[in-house]
Amino acid sequence: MLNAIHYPIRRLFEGLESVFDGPFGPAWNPIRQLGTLAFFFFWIAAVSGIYLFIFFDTSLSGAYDSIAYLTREQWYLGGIMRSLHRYSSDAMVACMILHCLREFSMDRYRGARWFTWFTGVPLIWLLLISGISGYWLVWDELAQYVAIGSMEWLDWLGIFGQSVAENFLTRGSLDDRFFSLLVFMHIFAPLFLLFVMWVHILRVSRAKTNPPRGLAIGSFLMLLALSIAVPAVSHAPADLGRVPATLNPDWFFMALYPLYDLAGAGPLWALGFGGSLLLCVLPWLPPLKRAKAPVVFLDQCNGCTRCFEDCPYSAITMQARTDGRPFEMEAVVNADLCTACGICVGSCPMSTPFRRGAALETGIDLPGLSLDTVHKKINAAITEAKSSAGDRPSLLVVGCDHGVPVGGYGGHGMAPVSLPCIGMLPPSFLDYALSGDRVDGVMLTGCAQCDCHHRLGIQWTEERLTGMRDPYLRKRVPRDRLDVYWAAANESAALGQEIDHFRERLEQQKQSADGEKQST
Amino acid sequence: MNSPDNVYFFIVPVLIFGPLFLWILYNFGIKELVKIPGELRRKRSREAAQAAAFEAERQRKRGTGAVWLVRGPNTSLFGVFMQGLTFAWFAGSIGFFASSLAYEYRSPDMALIKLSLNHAGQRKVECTTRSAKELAKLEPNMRAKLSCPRERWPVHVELELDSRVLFKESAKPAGLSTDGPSSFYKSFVVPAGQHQLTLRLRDRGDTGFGFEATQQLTIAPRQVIAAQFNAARGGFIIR
Repeated sequence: MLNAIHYPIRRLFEGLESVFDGPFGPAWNPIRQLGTLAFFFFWIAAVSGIYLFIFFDTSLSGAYDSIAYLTREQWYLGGIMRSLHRYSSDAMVACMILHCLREFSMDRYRGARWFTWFTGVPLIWLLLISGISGYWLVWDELAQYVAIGSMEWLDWLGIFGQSVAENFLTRGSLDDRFFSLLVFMHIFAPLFLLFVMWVHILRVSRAKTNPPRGLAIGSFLMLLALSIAVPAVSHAPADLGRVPATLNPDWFFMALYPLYDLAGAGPLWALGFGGSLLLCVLPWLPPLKRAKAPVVFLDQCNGCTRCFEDCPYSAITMQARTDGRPFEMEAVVNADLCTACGICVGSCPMSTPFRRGAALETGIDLPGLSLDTVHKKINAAITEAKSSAGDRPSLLVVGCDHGVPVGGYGGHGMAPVSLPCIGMLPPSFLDYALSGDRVDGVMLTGCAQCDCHHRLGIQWTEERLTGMRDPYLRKRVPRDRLDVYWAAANESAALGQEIDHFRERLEQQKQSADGEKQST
Repeated sequence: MNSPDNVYFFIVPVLIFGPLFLWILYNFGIKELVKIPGELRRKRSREAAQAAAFEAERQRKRGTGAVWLVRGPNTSLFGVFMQGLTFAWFAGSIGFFASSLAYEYRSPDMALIKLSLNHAGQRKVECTTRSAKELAKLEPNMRAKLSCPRERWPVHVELELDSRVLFKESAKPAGLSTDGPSSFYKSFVVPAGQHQLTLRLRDRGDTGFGFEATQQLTIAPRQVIAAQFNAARGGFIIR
């Protein structure tokens, strides 16, 4: 059921990412930077908010006029700051909603990722509270509408001794002290929001909170241009003796208020609590998928720390040796944080097919897909590619379970192997396949560039292949017989095209090599 | 120009004294607080140099090695133009939903009557004076002359507009011992114009209405009429 919901949303995001990959390039693609953009918009709102606070009159009678002064008299700075404050918080809401939907559709909220998802739920409430409390401070008709609506909504819970909405009953019933409370709420809610944002990324290893510089500059210029073109303005001053008639609400923050007018407080609380509860329990709803965490084999582990360095989830720690062998450290896996991506297996220097022994053993291995099984699969694929190649070059296609499904690339001289993450493939396996002429070429593919399902698999693979990260791909491996193409799950046509081009290149190489042999 | 509200009264001091303040803060405060030992500073600069060399080498090998299909940011003229279009679309969406989509909360020819009151119903059982014998049976610290059971009657309120009942409800007293006030908060959208408003309140079981008020009102469009209750001030207050 959940998978049926994931699929169309995922296809939509994949389509959007492909569209934006053109003008932005994968590194600046805003759809892949929604989380970092939300952080960036928060900082813009924070800085502009500090400026606004300098000029803001926190009294009931002076609040509206101080905002009007910033908007009209000081339009060139204060007015722009006000607009930046409003639009950046709106952009943050938009990014948050899209980020939430995207991570849901990509199935990145279960297993070890539950914590990040779970702590994202209060962020929704805190962001809404931060924004709505900000609108109160303008103390115009919109503020009056939102403040009374919020208080009536809270009153429904019956947790206050008497109605809080009574504070807004008539002209003169609201005093400066209560208004100051609203000001404090607008300061402390964003501070608490920032704290929970920090908790949200606490378990993410090498968390990115800044968008690429080019994207950040573009986003800021966008907000600045919008602030100049359509400056934020106030409604008429609030008057508790008059009912606001037509309003221009900020729908990013106030979409629920018309619903409250329509259905009342009870259904809205049910929606709010029910929706939050559903989001909270999503990581534990079926189908539950949790592959077994890797196991460390101390007789093969020399405590080199490569798996510890490469784990994208900080699921591996190093501790003092416990088995008496003459090494300083040993790796320990925290199964609660592990997603069984296999990147640690790919990073282990003991993961090499050139070792002797009945079964291939390594320092850290996945129980669900051992390195020995991968070895056997690759051997079988090599045999299949060779046997079906005929005169054409044989090709081994290694992909991952989250990119283009590679299962279809079998026969006609090709054979596929799919891994949980491309980072699981130790470079020595490429050496094994190519240096010994077991196949004519190897095609590596995975998720879209800058969008590895397991965060760092693509980056580590690139660095291993280019000799920048241990374990390296050895120099003797012929690079011209190795091709890499990162493709999202919906880019099978592009991958197919790349494979065809690669095979043509391999064929030309083969023909020229045969020609050289004959001439000698 | 000489008004203290003038922006230059803020900006000029900030521009002159701001950097001076920051310089003092840094040199006599922050610098000392976060003073980095020389060895650590050298180690960090060594690491930074290594990282820069690593990145330079990575970029060089990217161009010549196996990973030749990795695409960087699109900085071509066409790319920048399309990015601009995308940003314009996003900005347009934000601007539209932030303030351009109108919502009619109330029709301009309607008004609002708000009923808001907090009133504690009468005690269900009246207070009685304890006799000396009864007082003697109690612990010394519990010997209050009056015995008052806490439970109160629910409060029943009715609101009639032009002889039509708009509201008729009872509210239980607050608190676990049902000894607190009963609260009402309700809004009624009514057409502007002349109306007769009648309010009734019962706080003593089923013994008729203890308080009643009727008032002729001329309500202007969008006006808010507040109906409150204060027993000490004689009952209903309509503003």
